[in-house]
Amino acid sequence: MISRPRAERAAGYLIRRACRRLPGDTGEERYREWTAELPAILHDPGISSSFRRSARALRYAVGVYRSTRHLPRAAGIPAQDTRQPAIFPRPDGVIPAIAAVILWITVLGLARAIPPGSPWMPLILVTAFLPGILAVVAIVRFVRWYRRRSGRTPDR
Amino acid sequence: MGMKLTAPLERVLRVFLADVSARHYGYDLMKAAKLPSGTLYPMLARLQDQGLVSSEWEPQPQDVAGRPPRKYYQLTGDGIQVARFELAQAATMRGAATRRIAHRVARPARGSAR
Repeated sequence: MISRPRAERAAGYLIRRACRRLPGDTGEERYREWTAELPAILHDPGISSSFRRSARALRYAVGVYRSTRHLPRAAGIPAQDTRQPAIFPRPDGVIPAIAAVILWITVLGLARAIPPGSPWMPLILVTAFLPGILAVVAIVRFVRWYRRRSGRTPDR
Repeated sequence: MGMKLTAPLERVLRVFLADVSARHYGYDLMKAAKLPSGTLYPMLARLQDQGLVSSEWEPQPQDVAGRPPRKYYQLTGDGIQVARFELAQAATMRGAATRRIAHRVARPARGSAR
């Protein structure tokens, strides 16, 4: 059960994170605007259950969080203005690549531990296929990111 | 004006045009247009950037003590004209498409009746 203040806090946190993506004044104004909507959602007389009201407030905050990716462009603010320069830029796909490789190794290790001819073997092999694909995609993304950074293609 | 009238935008414009003098806050618009916040706010920002919607802060909340002031949105004069024009155009196009489909359904296909 999500209590009302906890939902409000969680939604407020998400909104604050979302507004950090926006440039100074815009972010501050949006934060004021969006947090001011939370009491209206959490006291909405049209929704009888407090759990549903809390869930709606969280959904609202998640939507707002997602919208900040499109908001600068929609408001005519160039995308690069909204980004803080990163000291250590995070490579594209490196975390998914590591996660997928670890998952892949785990599943393959599991497959080796199971005796051949076990009825679980086909299921494990099928399960190993998806992280394998994900690992390949993530590694390709990482290699492309690395090549961009090395200066072959300018990075944005 | 270069406005692409999508279904969500049409719903928002209809809500605004239902009472052009009414001011709407974000959650109010979300409920009325049945749109998620992630769709509504970028749309409002675009409309505001085009000068079709204006926004202003509520001076002092009157109902609940301690409630923070909300931001209200309203169509501008240009916005009202553009919204009416776009909705009328969409309705005309929809009507023409419906008539075309009805005409095709009513007319027997060539060679089908022997």
